[in-house]
Amino acid sequence: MSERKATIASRVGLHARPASIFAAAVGELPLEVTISLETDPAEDAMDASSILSLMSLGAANGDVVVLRAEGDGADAALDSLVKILETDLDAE
Amino acid sequence: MIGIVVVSHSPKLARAAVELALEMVGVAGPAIAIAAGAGEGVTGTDAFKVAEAIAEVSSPEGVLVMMDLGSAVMSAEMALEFLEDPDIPVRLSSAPFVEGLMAAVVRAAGGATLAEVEREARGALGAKQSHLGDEDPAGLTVDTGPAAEHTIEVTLLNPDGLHARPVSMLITALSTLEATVTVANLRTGQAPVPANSPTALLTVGARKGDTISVAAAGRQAVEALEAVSDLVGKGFGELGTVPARAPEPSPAQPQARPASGALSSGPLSSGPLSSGPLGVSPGLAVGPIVRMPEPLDEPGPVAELPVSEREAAADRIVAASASVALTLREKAARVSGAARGILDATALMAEDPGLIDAAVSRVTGQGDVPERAVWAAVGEVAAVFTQQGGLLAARIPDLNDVRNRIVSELLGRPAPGLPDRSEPYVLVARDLAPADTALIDPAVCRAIVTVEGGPTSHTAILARALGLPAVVAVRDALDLPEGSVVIVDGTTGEIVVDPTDDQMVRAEEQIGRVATFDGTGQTRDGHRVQLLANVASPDSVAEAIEAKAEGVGLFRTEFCFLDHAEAPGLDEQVAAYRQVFAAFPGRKVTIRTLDAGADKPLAFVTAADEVNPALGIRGYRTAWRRPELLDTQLQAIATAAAAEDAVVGVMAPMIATVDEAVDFAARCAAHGLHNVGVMIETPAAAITAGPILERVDFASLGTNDLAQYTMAADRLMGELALLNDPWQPAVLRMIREACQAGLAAEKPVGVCGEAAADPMLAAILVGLGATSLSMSPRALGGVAELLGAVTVDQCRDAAVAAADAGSTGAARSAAAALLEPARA
Repeated sequence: MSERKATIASRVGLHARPASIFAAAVGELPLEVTISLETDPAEDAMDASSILSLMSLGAANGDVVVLRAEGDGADAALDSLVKILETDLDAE
Repeated sequence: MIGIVVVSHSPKLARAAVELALEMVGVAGPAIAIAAGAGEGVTGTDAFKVAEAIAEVSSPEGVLVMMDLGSAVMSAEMALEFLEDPDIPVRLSSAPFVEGLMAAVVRAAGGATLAEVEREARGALGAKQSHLGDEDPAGLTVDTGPAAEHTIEVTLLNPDGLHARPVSMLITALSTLEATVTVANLRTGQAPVPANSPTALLTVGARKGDTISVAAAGRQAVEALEAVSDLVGKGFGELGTVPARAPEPSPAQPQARPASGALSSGPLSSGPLSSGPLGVSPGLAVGPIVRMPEPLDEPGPVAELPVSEREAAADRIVAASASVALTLREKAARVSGAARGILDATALMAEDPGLIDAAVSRVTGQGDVPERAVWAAVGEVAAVFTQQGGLLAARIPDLNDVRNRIVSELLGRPAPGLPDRSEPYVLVARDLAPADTALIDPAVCRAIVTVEGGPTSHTAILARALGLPAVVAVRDALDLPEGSVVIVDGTTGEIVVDPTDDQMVRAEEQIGRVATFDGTGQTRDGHRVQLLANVASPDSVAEAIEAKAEGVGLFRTEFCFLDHAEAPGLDEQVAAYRQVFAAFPGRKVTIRTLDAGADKPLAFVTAADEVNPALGIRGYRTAWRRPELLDTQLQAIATAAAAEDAVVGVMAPMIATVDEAVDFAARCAAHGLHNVGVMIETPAAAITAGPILERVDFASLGTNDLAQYTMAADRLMGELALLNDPWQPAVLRMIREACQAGLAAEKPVGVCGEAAADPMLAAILVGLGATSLSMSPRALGGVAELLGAVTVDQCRDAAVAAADAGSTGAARSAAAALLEPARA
């Protein structure tokens, strides 16, 4: 199991546009990735490819989330996902 | 007040009948309960439901039961045997369903007894029978009371005469008075009818211009006649809607009138709470009607799926979701910007793995049919969103859109949302959701007509942005048949259904004529009003010149600062400002210093943690924190102005005190800038415009912020749009305050907000005393044209009427009436 922490950079938090960009990126990976708030227990982690789950996670700007994945290439995949979360997607 | 139970085979029929009846009485109607359908979506009636409905609305004064037909009567009779409280009087009415219900609701709202209501309902066919010439109309044999002691004759002024709504107002007004009143139509010579009976009053058939004789007896007879006279004299409150209807035909200028359509003047076309059709985005368009598909209802419960069929049913959900997502992605590929983002996100939601899993497990686990499974699965997500509130709750409409699309796909119905057309059409909808409007293509959608909505609704704002004519609050719009050709006038709110050839020719001529501006703004009688352009960056200068703007009334400088981590340097600013100044040699260019904060945050001047940014460090206040930014900018403006020939004025945003104006003028003077002004965007500045104008050379009204602060209503909240309307009389009075100060000081006061782009409002602003109007270049033609068609006195009269009006609707109506010749 690989695990990464990321700080949400988008001003509005992990909301509509940022969430859709992130969910689409996760959806393209051949891995199952979960996401949870740093403050929540690991068993509450949700499917990171689900835009609805991402939105209901309610991660605000500055919140820290934990990404988890298992399997080949998990580390590289998580690194790329962290990069997306730590970019202010609204500013683009 | 008695209670009313409506028994019908069809829940839809019952709801529609109740809705229609309640339109007559507004909010203060009697308690009504519906017992309709035999449950499980089956047409029929159910005695238990009727009994429950009676219990629900029971009152000591009694309950009247209205039924549609056949077994409804039997169910209602049986229900009487189940009643828990035998002391409540309950009557079953033999009245006609629709007419009777309407009459009963009106009478019950007026506080009549069970027996009176029942009798009224039973006689409710009278109006129709009398109109159609049937023998012996029922219900007209009501006693007209003792001989009248007082009589008046009054002439009806309102466009539709004594139709349903005025009748209901009349009865309500008289219901509290101790008087017996009768009404007779002198034109028809028919016998007087009692004025407490809606059906009887409707048979009077009094039209606009008819004189009615009103007789009253009893202790308060005089008061009763005064009440009637007052209502008639005020046209039952309907005179204000005249401009929204077809203009009166005049021999000199034949005018289009609604031909045969439901929209002409049907008595039910304007309920008591609505202001009738309202043009909210100016312009004229012709096209066939295309209706938005009606929204979906929740799929009713049906039998559990057998286990053997569940897997196939689950596969249908996956297929439907994929198909919806694909359609949405295809649509996304055809648009750009924000619309594309919305559609991409919606596509992701449509095939959200969590959502699909939840729906599929409802099918495989408990045997739900796919459409119900999807409906319920989305409902669960929506509940989470609702609970979290805020931004998430705001996404619920998108979620419901996804649900509707998938369920429609499963049911094989047309996808909800904007129709896919390539030929021009007029869009008719109950209301438009933002997701729909994002896709409207002004090249094919020629006009928008909606049942709901007001002048500041989403539809109205969008239509104006797209330059599409729009009419809202057209209550019977959905009755217009798909495909029939209509002429839509978004200025007057008039809709002509199935126009004649003549009307078509005239409309097309008018559409072909593009309003242009000749470069000199003035009223018909030569009162000069400078018409200027708002310019947001050097890129938009060409458009302003193309539109023949007399100059620039608002040159926004934020473009220089956006996307910068730190303020731009002097040279960069000088170069940018020179580009705009150079385009207007010898012309006025009013440049505004940096206006950051609130909805325009800039990293280097605004703090991210303000609780209430609209009331925080914004506008001129940012200079408190970073005075050197303002000094650099003023230096850049002075340098650029010296290098070019434009007549440069410089103004500060968001001034609230005289001291700020003095401070700004001093800073400008230090940089050699002498034509100095301030923006009046706060009520504080509007009210103290006199002393402010003693210290500066000019002022410019920012109407968007002035409306926001006057009405204490956040501009960015759609829900507050009705308050954030520059037509609010309070805002108009603020503007007047500032303009009058300008006239007294003999210093120019212009308007550079959104308001100046609305031609009718532009005329009001001129009437209030504005000396120049600055707007987006595309609005110049329309504003110049209207101003050129009216006199300055007309503008002044309209301004007085609008500022004195009691509401935005009344302000618009009054202005439209007084500026009317402009549209002839």
